Amino acid sequence: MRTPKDYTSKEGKPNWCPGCGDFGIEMAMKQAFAQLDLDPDKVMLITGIGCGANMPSWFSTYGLITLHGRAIPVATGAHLANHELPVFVEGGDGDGYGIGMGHFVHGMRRNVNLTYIVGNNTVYGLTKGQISPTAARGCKGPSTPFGNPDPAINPIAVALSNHCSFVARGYAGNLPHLVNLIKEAYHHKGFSFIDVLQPCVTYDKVHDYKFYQDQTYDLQQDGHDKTDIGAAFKKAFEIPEKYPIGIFYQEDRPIYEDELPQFKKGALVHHDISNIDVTPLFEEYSF
Amino acid sequence: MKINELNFMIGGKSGEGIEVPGNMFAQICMHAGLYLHVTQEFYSVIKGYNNINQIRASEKPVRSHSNHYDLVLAIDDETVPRYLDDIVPGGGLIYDPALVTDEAVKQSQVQSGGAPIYDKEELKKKLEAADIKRFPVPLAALAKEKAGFALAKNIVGIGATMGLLDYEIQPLLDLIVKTFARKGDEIVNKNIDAAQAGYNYVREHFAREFNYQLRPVKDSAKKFFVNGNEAIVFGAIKAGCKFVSEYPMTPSSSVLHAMAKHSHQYDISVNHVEDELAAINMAVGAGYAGVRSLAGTSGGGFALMTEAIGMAGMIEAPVVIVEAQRPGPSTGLPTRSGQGDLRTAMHASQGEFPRIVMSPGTHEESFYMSFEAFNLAERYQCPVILLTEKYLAEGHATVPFLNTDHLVVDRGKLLKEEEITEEFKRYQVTEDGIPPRTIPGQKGGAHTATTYEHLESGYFTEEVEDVNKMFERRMKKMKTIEANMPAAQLEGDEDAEITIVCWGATYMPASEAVDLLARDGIKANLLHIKYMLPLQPGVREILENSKHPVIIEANYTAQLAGVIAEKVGIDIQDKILDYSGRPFTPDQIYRAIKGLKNKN
Repeated sequence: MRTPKDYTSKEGKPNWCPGCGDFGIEMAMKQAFAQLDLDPDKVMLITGIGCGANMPSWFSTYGLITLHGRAIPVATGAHLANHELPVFVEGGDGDGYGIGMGHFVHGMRRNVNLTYIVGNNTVYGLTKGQISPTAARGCKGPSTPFGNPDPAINPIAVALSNHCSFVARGYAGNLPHLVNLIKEAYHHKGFSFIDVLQPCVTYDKVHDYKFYQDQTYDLQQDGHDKTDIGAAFKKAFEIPEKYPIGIFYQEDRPIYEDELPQFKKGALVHHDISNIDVTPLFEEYSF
Repeated sequence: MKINELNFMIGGKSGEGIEVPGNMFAQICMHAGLYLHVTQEFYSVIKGYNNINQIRASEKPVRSHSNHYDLVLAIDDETVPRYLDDIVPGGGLIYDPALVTDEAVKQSQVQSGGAPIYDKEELKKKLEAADIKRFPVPLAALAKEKAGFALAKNIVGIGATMGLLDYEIQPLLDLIVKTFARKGDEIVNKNIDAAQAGYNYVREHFAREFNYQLRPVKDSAKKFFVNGNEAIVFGAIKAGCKFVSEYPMTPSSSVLHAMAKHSHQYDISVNHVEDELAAINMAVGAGYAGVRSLAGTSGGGFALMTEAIGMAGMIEAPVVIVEAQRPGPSTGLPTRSGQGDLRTAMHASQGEFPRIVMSPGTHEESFYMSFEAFNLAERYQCPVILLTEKYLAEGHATVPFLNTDHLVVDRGKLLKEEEITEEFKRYQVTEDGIPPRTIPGQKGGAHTATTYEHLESGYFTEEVEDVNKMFERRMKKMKTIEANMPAAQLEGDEDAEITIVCWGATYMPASEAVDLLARDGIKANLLHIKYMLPLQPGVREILENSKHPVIIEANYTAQLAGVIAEKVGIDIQDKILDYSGRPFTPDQIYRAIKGLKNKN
């Protein structure tokens, strides 16, 4: 049986601030991988840029740290190249809901088989504490000294309204629950999205562990019907009073690669390209 | 009588259909065994403005278009006033006499944007005075009478064209059946009647009045008919490209279309994605994961791809980008041609990293250089930019069936699983700068690839010694690329008095200009530069021995001349530049060089 250690890089330790929610996400992923018994050489972990997006550095799997906001398209390309490998995409809220929002929306529509984990802490940590797209109206930071003029993005509602086939929220301070969510997301065929509430202990003094401990509750324990999109929407709008965690919505719908004959003969990366005959093309374009 | 040597042009409004009869004519010529060069000039609107379809046919290979027409088929009212002067003496004009009317003049006043306004009487006078053969055919009236709708005037026109060229009508009728079959028998029959009407009208009224004929050629070489984008697609498929992501943009869209069309046949994942950011990032992801990938775009989309090109450079993922240029800045002239993006392609993205910028000159070269681009991308683990322009990308030509026996897929230092050792380091310092490479799924090859500066293992670093070591190792690839790059070739007599220097598709008209100059006793040779970054070796030696180099570029600032001055230290003084969005013609280059000679 594999353990989290089997997914840990030998080359250094995370450089996050002590107490950062990213530690919870890291550990939850490693525990989930171990419980799923994934072969580290058969896993792709692809991230954007940001504190949490440095994740692959401390993993022993194939890892790729891309550009700010571009993890989803890079992961989509990598996945379609080798759709037999599990792909985990990870990043922060600025990465996914700010600069990468377009890809997030289109990725959900496209529904390729990957798991997208977003650490949502309402701030930009790596650039020193500016507000993120999930920061509430009125929040103050170095770029908004007089308060954030815009209301917050609601990532769960965005996902529900854009055909996301697995919509969930976890909390970095509730490890067993998050581990379970990641496993469920892995087993789900399609674009699985997990928004993870995480305290930023350095720049956000409001949303600390105590806050989320008090405000979160488990949807599944509460009897929520995850096949009911109407109920899911209602739950999505409970913030900022209550923060339900668990699976909001899940639907079986065809995945991108299953609909196309190109992928039926195995992963594209394994196709023989050594001697492709293009004479039929010459013939087709001659008269 | 001129046989099988014809420069034919069809002019008409967008939406009136100059493409269908143009394609039919091209297919008939191909069927007859002729070589073709086809280019279209059109406005960036879906309906309404005057577009032209230029088709040159010959028994010998045709290398370029020309703006001197042997025969013009005017389907709309604007073609006659715009292009009357471009018909050669003795050339023909098929036009609808009903079009030289008050209505036509009124229409010309509607079109804004500086288009000419016509005077009816003057136009009639000019038409009568022209040293050409006039073939007035009531295109619209015949279309209405025989087919029941005036829009079939293009088919009447192509019927008339075949009649005038004294060619049998059957191949045209066969093509009409093929083209309109899916629209039902009624439409097929109406169009057949329209074609027959045009054909008969011309045979009745102008029998043997035109001095040009088409005849089938016996035992001609087997050829196919493609635009530059399609030739690139064929080369990419041959190279094993399995992943394509693109956001449509003129003039690159037919890369996406052709790839999509053949995606099932060749097992290629072809993706019309949300924007160019997604296009390039997906392609880089696929390249990273071990599949040969392509992203196609034009200048505007390329600008959006900038950051991810740097990512490919940094994580050393192979990717091929096709940039089909159109004139900028910004939206510029969306449907025209130009070469204003050379410096953009060479320098796009922050920082310094190895990349290759190359540009084919012909359709045939598009196929081979596209194939090669994929090998280079994997061999050197870097982005390769294949730069074309609308003239080549969307221009069609006949290409003899190409030999592919010598083409070998080279995956560079991509390790096989059994070659991966304990010591494997993805970004290992090597003699030639190229590190060993593994792809996800390979046992023992796991590593982190990151856009941050990193150690040999891939783990990030900011330590001075490590940063320098990695930077120098990466940039060393540029030297390796240069050392293995084919040397520039001089075409023609080494002692020529003029050396034409050009890049990209300007090669096509330039190579014909060489022949035009030779007719006047002016000896010119030709240096067509195919690799701009790194600049291919041999350019200095050729230019040092050149008596009088003249650079020809479709931009304002002579970008390649700048690159040559910077890399080779030779500042080419005489420059022929055109940024109008219209491709160079052989005649234009010929006249410009004659002008330079007279000046000197």
